[in-house]
Amino acid sequence: MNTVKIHVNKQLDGITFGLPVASLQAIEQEYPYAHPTSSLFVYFDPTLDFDVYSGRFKTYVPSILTGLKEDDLARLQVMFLDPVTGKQFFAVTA
Amino acid sequence: MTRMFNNYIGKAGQFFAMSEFLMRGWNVAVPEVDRGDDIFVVQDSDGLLRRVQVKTAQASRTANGYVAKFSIPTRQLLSAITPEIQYVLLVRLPAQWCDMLIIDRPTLAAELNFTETMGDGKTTVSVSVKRQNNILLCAGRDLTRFNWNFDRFPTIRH
Repeated sequence: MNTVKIHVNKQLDGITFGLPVASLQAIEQEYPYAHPTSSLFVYFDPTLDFDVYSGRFKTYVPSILTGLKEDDLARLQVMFLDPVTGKQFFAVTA
Repeated sequence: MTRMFNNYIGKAGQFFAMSEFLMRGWNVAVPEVDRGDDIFVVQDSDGLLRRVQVKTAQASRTANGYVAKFSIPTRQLLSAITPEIQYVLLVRLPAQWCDMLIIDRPTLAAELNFTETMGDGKTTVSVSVKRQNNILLCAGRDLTRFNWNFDRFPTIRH
C-alpha cells in the first residue's frame, strides 16, 4: 500500500472524513496494530473559511482515522477525495 | 405486480420499520422533503438521532429460501456522513415480512467490498440477498448476524 485515500464529505457544520473500504482493509492487513476507524466528524464554524482548518485536517485527520504510527504514515501518500467525483480536496505527501 | 405497486410496498415497509422502532421506545419522524432519508429515529431524552433508510424487496422463492434484490444509491453508499445512515433491508414474502437486516453504511460497504470504481457510472447499486435455509448471504458474505439486529437501537424504557 502506497496511498491512503480519505473521503471528504462537507456538511453544514463540519466535515465527515471516511476511509473507503479498500483503504480500511489494506491498513488492517498491513498494519494489524492500527485499528482504523471508518469515519470521523470534525465540527467547525461554517462562517469561517474552510482553508483556515485545512492545514489542521491534513495534520491530524489521517493519524486519527488510520490509527497509524507517525513513521508508518510518513511513508504513505495521503489523498483527500470527494467520494463521488474523485476530485482531490488537498494532498499530503510526507 | 406493477411498478406502481413498488410505491405501496415501499411505504408499507417504511411504516413497518417505524412501528418496530416505536415498540423499542424510539421516536420516529418522516422528513417533509425527501432528500434521501426515510426516517429520523430519535431518542427523546437526549436527542440522539439516527438516520434510517428503509429498502424493501419482494422475494422470489428458491428451493431452500429466496432471493431478494435491493437498490441502493451509489453516492449514498460511498459517502461517509454524520450521523451515519442505518440501512433497513426488508424482505417481503407473499404473506408477510420475513427478514429485516439492519446494517450501517460503512459496514454494508465493507461487506459488499464496495469500491469507488464499482460505483463508476451507475447511480444505484443492486444488492442481492439470498436466504439459504437459515443463512442470509450477500455477495458471498454471511449477513445473518444483522437480521433483526437492533443493537444500535436498544430498547428504551419510558
